[in-house]
Amino acid sequence: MPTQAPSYSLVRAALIGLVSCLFAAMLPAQASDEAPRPLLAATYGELCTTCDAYLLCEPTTSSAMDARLLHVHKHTFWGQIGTIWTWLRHLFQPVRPDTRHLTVYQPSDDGRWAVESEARVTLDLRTLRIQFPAGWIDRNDGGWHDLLDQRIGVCRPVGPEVSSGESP
Amino acid sequence: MNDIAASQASSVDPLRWASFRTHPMRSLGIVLVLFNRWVFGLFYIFAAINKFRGGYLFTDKLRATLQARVPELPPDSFAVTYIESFIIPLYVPISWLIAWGELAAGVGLLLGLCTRWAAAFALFFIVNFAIGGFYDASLIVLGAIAVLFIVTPSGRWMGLDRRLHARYPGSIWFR
Repeated sequence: MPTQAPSYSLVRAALIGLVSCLFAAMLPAQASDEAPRPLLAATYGELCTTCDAYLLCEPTTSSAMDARLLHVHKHTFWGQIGTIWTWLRHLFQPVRPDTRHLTVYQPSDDGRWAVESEARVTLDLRTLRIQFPAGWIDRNDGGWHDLLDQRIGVCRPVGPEVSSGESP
Repeated sequence: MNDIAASQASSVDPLRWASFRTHPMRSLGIVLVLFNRWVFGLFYIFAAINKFRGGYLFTDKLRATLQARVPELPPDSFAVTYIESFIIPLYVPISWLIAWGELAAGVGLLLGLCTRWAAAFALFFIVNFAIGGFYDASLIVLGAIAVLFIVTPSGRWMGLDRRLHARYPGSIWFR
């Protein structure tokens, strides 16, 4: 009575594949020293999909601009699901910009914050910029720039409570 | 009854045109499940490689990651308790479990080897990521996909489980 041939070749192929994966994984290990993280970046890349972030941008003394408070929103439910596709794209193009909803606040007459505009903001780890319609922020030093690339102030992360407090 | 259905389904060879002609919807479903399984397996393998390259095994990367995450979470949430009282004190064995476990799950899903167990392992990680403070809606989809590979005999449709189940029909590992 014939018996089924053992699938040694398949098992061997599986083991070779496994060992290959391990070598591929081990080779270029990163140094454990952490470089300073760019503004609004997380450990694994961009700001986490469920995180809101606030940036208080204050003008330099020579600038005629008022301060602005930027609220970078978390991704929507479907936007979070879409990150699976984003993650797969990262396999082929490691750094891709992340676009989110943005609310810009400006100081109001009563000394609080009032919504100035709603827009889209692009977080980009390749150019190290946070780009929005009225300008951009350098993610290395928080430098706030206008559309003419003039540095007009500096931005820093703040807590969400700032949006309900008094403006500077 | 379920065994008969599983046996019938596993007898369909998705790469044969005859199967598509006689059972078009079933064959299409099988191909879709298999495609998802391969993508999901690659997803886990690359996630594991990121862990290895990121120094998960021999540095305190996991602890640093979680310590950075805690301030972003509601202080009274279960995730904070879970991270501070369980994961951070045991970050060394958990780092190893995550890196090697993701690799095992990925390889199992890609090759169709111990497929249901690999999918269960993947689901275990997804649940732990969610309760460990890294929940987002994409985990719902990833969890549903993992369940798909637990309930279907996809490793016997195409994978090493097909041969191994034939050789060891009583084994729970290759069902």
